[in-house]
Amino acid sequence: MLQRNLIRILLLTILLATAGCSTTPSLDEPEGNQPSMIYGHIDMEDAPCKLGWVTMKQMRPKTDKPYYNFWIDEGTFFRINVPPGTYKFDEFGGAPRFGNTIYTFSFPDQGKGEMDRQIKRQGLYYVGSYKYKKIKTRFWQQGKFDLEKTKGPSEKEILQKILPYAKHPFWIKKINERLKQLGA
Amino acid sequence: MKKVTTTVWTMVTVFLLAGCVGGKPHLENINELMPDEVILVGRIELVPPLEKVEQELNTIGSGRFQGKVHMLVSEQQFDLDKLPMSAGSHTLFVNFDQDFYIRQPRVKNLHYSGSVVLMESTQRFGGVDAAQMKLPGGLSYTIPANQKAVYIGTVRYYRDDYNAITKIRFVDDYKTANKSFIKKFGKKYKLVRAKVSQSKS
Repeated sequence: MLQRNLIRILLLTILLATAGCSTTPSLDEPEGNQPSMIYGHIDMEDAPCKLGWVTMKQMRPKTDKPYYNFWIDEGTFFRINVPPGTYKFDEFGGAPRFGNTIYTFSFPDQGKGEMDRQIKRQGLYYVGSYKYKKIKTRFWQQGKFDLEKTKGPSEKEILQKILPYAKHPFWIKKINERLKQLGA
Repeated sequence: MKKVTTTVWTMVTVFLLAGCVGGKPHLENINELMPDEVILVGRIELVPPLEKVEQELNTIGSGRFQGKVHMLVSEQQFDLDKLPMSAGSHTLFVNFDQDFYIRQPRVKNLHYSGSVVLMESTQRFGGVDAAQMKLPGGLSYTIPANQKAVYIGTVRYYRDDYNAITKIRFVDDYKTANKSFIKKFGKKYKLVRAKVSQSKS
């Protein structure tokens, strides 16, 4: 948890300090025996902030460092070097361009969500494209949201967006193989 | 995908973090039992068991929740998703996989509305990040008249990798519980089974 908070502090500091700039993703050398990539998209047009971060939690095997952070590029989130295991998306959020409010949206604490994956072997795992929808609540109630599945951007479009960030031949090959399967 | 959740910036587990940690008192000495009280004897289990690494308890005082669960056992029935601030005083704050001995004012019936486990309590900007595991209830106990020690059984929960509850079993393990009860408190009071039924909601 400390690790996750430190990463979040660092991310937020960068977010606030650079006001719109972000670190450039780089799909470098694969790590571990069966490194997988997880990717998806959240359209935050109706949200009070842009997508600034996404975190995922490793449920099995149990570990004292269970959190995984994602690179973000205009709603597309992706992460490499995920080892085999059971994963649950934990939360996402961001900061608006103006103002100092930081928004965090949490996924349900229990149960398998649509984005959650069990990774048994090396691969590229697309978790879907979604649109943030705010659910009306009374003013004294907690904010609620829904993530509606959308047709776009498609997996192919997302991979084409990620491909320029792939620096290592391993990832270039894997992404191109998948793009070929998708008819690109 | 219907994925309705709440934002984290407000505290999710208000009643658990607001000092209502203790729940109803545990009985340590049989002579402390008041004339208008009974002892509730039972157990709650989780399969697979909760491991220390699963609970992220980093705020001050939250370590007390390690390996423990709040069981809502009360004359009232509660909705686990709409717990009032007073809910803490209706709970049995007990360890998983251990028999509990709880002092309970004598009533005719009690309802088990479910349990809540604090899975995360971490400080962050302007608030506390909290997460819970909820275990559904739905049992009623009829407390035998004129009996002081009441066995309410074991509730055993099975969960999957995502902490969704996949199966619930009510287990009558009276023999073992009675042995432990006699070993701890002697034979001053006989341990008697409560009548257990499904709650009418």
